[in-house]
Amino acid sequence: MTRLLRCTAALAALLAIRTAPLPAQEIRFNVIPYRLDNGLKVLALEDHAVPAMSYYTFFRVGSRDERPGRTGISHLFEHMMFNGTKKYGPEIFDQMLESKGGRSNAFTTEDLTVYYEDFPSEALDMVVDLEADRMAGLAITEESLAHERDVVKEERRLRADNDLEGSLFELLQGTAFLAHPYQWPVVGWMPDLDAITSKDCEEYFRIHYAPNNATIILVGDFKPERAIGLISKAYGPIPAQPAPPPVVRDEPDQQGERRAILKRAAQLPAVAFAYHVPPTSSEEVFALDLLQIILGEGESSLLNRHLVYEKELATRVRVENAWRLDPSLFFIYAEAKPGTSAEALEAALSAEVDALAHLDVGAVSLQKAKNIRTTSQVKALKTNAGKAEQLGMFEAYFGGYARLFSVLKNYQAVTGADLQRVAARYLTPENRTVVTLVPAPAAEVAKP
Amino acid sequence: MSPPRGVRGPARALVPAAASALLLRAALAGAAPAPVPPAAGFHVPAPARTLLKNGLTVLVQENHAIPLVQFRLMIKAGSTADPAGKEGTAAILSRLLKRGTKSRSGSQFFEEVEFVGGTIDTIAGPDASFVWGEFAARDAEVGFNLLADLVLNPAFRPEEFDKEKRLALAGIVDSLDDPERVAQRAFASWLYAGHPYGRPVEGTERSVQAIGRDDVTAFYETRYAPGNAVLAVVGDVSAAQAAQRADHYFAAWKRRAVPEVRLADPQPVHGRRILLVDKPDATQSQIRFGNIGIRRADPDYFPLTVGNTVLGGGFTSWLVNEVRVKRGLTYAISSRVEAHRTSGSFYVTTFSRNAAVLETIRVALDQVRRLRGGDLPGDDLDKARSYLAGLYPLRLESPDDLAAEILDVDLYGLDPDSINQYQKRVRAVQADAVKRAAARRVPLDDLAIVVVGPAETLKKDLETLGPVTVRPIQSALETAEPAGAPAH
Repeated sequence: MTRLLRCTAALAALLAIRTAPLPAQEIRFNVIPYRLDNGLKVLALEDHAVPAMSYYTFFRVGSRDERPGRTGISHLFEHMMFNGTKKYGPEIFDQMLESKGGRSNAFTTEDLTVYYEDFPSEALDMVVDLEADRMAGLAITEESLAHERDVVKEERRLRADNDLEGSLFELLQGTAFLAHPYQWPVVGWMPDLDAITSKDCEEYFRIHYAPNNATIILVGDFKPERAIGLISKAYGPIPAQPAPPPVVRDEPDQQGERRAILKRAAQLPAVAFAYHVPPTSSEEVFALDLLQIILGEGESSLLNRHLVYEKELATRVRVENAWRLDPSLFFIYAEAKPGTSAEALEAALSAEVDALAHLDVGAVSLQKAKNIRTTSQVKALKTNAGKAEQLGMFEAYFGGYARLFSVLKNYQAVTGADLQRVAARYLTPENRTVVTLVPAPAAEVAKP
Repeated sequence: MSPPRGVRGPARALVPAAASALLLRAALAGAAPAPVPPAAGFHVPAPARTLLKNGLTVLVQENHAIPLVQFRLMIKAGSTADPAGKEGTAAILSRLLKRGTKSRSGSQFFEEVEFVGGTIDTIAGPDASFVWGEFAARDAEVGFNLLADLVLNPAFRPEEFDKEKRLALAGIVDSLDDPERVAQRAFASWLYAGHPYGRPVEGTERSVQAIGRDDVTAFYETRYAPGNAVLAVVGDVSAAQAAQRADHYFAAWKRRAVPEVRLADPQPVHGRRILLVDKPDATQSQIRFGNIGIRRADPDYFPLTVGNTVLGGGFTSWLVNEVRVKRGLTYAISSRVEAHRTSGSFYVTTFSRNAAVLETIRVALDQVRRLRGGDLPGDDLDKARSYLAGLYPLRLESPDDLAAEILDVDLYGLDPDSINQYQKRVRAVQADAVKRAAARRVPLDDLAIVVVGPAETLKKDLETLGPVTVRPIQSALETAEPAGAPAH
């Protein structure tokens, strides 16, 4: 209980900083870190707010670790992790968990593959057994791979082929990157999904699913000493593997604007920009994150106010400074209002972004962005799952979970001059890829 | 910023289309999984209830785990109260509330909300409209003040109305590019056949064109009244202080009588009524089928919910197992009990590559037939009950979810302790009750079916299920109702 109160007090102090300088105290959770001899890292955070807990396993592998011809294997493999081991047959994982009133899922990104369970606390022993069992070894059969491949192809059809925004982002990333694996979609290209073999999966598992490439995060109603004991016993026998081959930061500098057109049956045009930006570990990420907020977060953000409400050129805008391990992209996306041409929308977007290098956003707007960033960080910590995910993301992107406790200081330190400097350096036409969705009658676009 | 969000990669599964519900055999070598004992310690104290002089009910739930406060104001009037032919009125009204009050322009208003890192948003649903906000606990008063200003003093500036109407129309046009939304909307109107629950909340192009500023202000004057509203405040506040502030900021809201929204019972579909919405460029088809179901307060709600979990809830349901796992026909499939205030629907939602649409529907119907036939292994029943009961506390873990649940108790006329009774009621459901509810409420031969995909490829396949009506996607949202549908 004292621990819980301490968390609350620290967060309250954090929110009290609105206009005043930040006190030294910030978000503070009593995380207990632990490392097994085989390299498996464990982060445990006790919190008895609900009689339940969340169990996250982060593997440091994603689509950036793939190669042409086998794109999508990270995500297809994520699905295969639910298809059985020698000890537990296919589907048993979910059956056992749901029988105890729990749920599980997973997601794959460019950089990470994350598995998670939320469940009543008494199911912890079972979850540790199930998760350790599947890290120790899978039973991949041709039959289960064939079915899962079909499932993933439906997922690709849903999210990319039959989703205009999904298609547009595939083209955008594919055009922005010449060399780096961030050029292909996490879900993979359709022919590659067909090409992936069970041998590829076994190899992939051996290289990337080793304990030394994983972090387990537990948050909720449990006793850390006991949980760490369970984990040590269950995962301890799994041998470490040589580190996976490093991903080369091979993307050459962009030397001039790149453009592409997506012609599809659509009601309205859309425009997307991507600017090359440094990896998330860079000091410049804080200013870029605040620019994301200033441009696109909230009804009073620049693009919402100017493009949606004042000029009425767009129905919706979205801005994202994507957190990535390697040099990343700053995305801007806008959908045209009926009557707005793609050209007019693009010109208006450009004008807004181009102005940032010389724009004094003013103390109030800067402080507003910092306050939005602060409360959004607190909001991300509302649940056990939220806390576990945030700890894991900071561990992966900032080299240590404890950066979660100090990161808001970095945002508070950003000045108006910093915003202008990063905008002038990265948000330039020469560093930009522009992709336009051009509506065409269904009869004119290629038949599937 | 923050972990890859929008562009975050695919997850193992998601539920297609609207609604919530997480995505669900054979037990361990013959051994039935033991039912979980009731989660120790899960109890939500009753919210502190205050009735203001003007009739506004205020419910406060203290939750000090995180220094945030959640506001959720429910006005018990939504799209089912829209005037006929002017569907979308409640939705435009809720949007227009955000575009300025008597003392603040829309921009000024949101500058103030967002300066403290807060949020305020509005939405209209079928039975109710909501205004909600989230603020840091220390800015709770800013939240009360701004939320009350938005609700009590809307300016309804004509130019802002025109703008919101244009945005609403643009949104309807834009939704034609989203096959899941098209399927969801077309299914509702095809099933409910003219009943207000089948109207799209956002209206149609034609109905929104017909809405004038006067319609919106009339809806506000008639329906937005303190006696017709409930304010839930959940989070790091003191109950006494929150009630006091609610009284201070909402006291000026004038009491007035509100006409009741009376809805006839929708007519269930007899036989098979199939709509094929033609989208010639689609490589994947969206599929919905079902029939009229129950209202939330119906005594069949718990047995049907448990039966629905066996059939199509979670990751180990019969539908997931047979359609996704064994055959790879889809990425996600589920069945839903969508229970509104006075009626509802029971339906299956999924999607598949065009060539596999018929097989997907047939395999799914086989599972429906099995449940209706009363084939309910004890393991499956145990798992469904444990799953629903075990996850319930997690569904209420964050203050916003708890606020929504507290308001549902009021909206659907549930008994005041229904949140704390939920787990008990789920666990008390017996096999016979599930079988009876399934036989009555899970439709098989009488079905509204909607498929969104290329008609040229799909029509012949679907005709093996029953007579098919084909409509182009452009008109599907205007006229998805079957010809000759009864007027309500």
